[in-house]
Amino acid sequence: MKRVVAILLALFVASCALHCGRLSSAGGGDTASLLPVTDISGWTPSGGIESVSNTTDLWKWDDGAEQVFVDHNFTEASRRIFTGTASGGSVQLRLRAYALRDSASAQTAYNDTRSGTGTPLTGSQNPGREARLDESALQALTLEFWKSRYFVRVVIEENSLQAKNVLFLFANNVASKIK
Amino acid sequence: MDNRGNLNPTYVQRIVDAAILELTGQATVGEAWLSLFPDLKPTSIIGIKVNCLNASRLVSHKEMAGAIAKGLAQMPLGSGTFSENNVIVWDRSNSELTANGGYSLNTGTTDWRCFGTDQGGVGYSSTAWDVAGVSQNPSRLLSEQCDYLINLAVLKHHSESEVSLTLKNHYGGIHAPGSLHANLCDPYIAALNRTIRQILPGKQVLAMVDGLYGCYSGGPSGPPQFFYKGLIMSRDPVACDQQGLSIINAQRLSRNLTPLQPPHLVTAASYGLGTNDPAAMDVRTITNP
Repeated sequence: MKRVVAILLALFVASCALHCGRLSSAGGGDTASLLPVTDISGWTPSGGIESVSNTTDLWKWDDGAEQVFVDHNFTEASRRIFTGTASGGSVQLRLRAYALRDSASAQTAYNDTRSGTGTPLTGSQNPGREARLDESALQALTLEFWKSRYFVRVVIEENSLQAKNVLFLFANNVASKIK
Repeated sequence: MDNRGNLNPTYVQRIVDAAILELTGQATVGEAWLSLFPDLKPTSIIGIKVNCLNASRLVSHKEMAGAIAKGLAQMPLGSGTFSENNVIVWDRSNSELTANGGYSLNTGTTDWRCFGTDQGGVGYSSTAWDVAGVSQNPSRLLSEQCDYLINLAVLKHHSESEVSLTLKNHYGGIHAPGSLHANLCDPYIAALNRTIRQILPGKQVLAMVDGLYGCYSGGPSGPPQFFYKGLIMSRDPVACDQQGLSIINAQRLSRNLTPLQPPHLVTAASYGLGTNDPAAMDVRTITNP
């Protein structure tokens, strides 16, 4: 018999002016230009923008988990981390933008990255062609949308109304640069 | 655990100690760990392969790796005990260990050491392995510098392989894991584990999943979605991962999500790497040790 030990422990729960370079959807896939380069209401970039334009480098981001974008004609991608305050202490916000070959590829990538836990955003809340907000995480919120040939993901490490507002602020900022 | 994900090392130590005692049936923590290493020498190096890919704190926690190292340092050896400095906690890069995992790099001569494959003097072996037709160079930490390996994975979903547990954790020990993600990573995950077992027999002595918290969707980079507040430990990596899959699927079912059926577990079992048959497992569950 193979012995497996699983332990459940009742751990004590202590307390369980933005860059506005516009992009043409027909232009080069400069996703770096989509990302804010200066502070957004007190949100400070942690390090520079990291961009990749080949499959090997993209794989390094998530140890190969970016395969879905490779499968849907990824051309290049950029990411950046910001640090700021939402409702309390300092938290991180992570922003990624992927350029696909065309809008059909972006839409397919959006569909294929659906986890089943996101809620579609409609009306004025929708920064793109389609968008979803995932509130399933313990201490984070994720907003994903696609617009033109771009797929964008914004994650903030806090689950609060204030954090949600920050999430939309960043998402709308990126979306406004995609024409 | 506080709202920033900080853990109390005392409690983590308690669950790790309880698990190894139950798994081995030994009377003391030191004897329990020692029973995994029948040929242990004072100069032996024990590696703990962690997983710090996720930037949202869904990692192999430093408190758990540290608890393992503290347990290993209790192994009786000669007139003393095994040196904690002979334990190396490692992953693919220093930056992920520190930025994502919160680990402190240590290449010194006291306490357990910690560094990535990109640390100077480490790197990847020049000898390539054939992994289901794909050439891969293993980390020298895996192939040369550690005599034994404890595989400490994370309880998480993976968008390509469906779950990322101990079998998948070995992707962090080869130079180009991205090229092994086609077809739900099958047969690549199983093939890599089979290669490790064939080329480095007896090196991996224990499979563990850090289940302090986990994610049932959006992995491997997504944030934690649930508290499990525990760990899984087995000498059989396939059985260990099957148990992890059961926990993740229970979370998915409770939210009306389709259960995951990662093919690599079936393939791994077919390769003789362990069992994925729950009926063949002796599962001991300890609550509040």
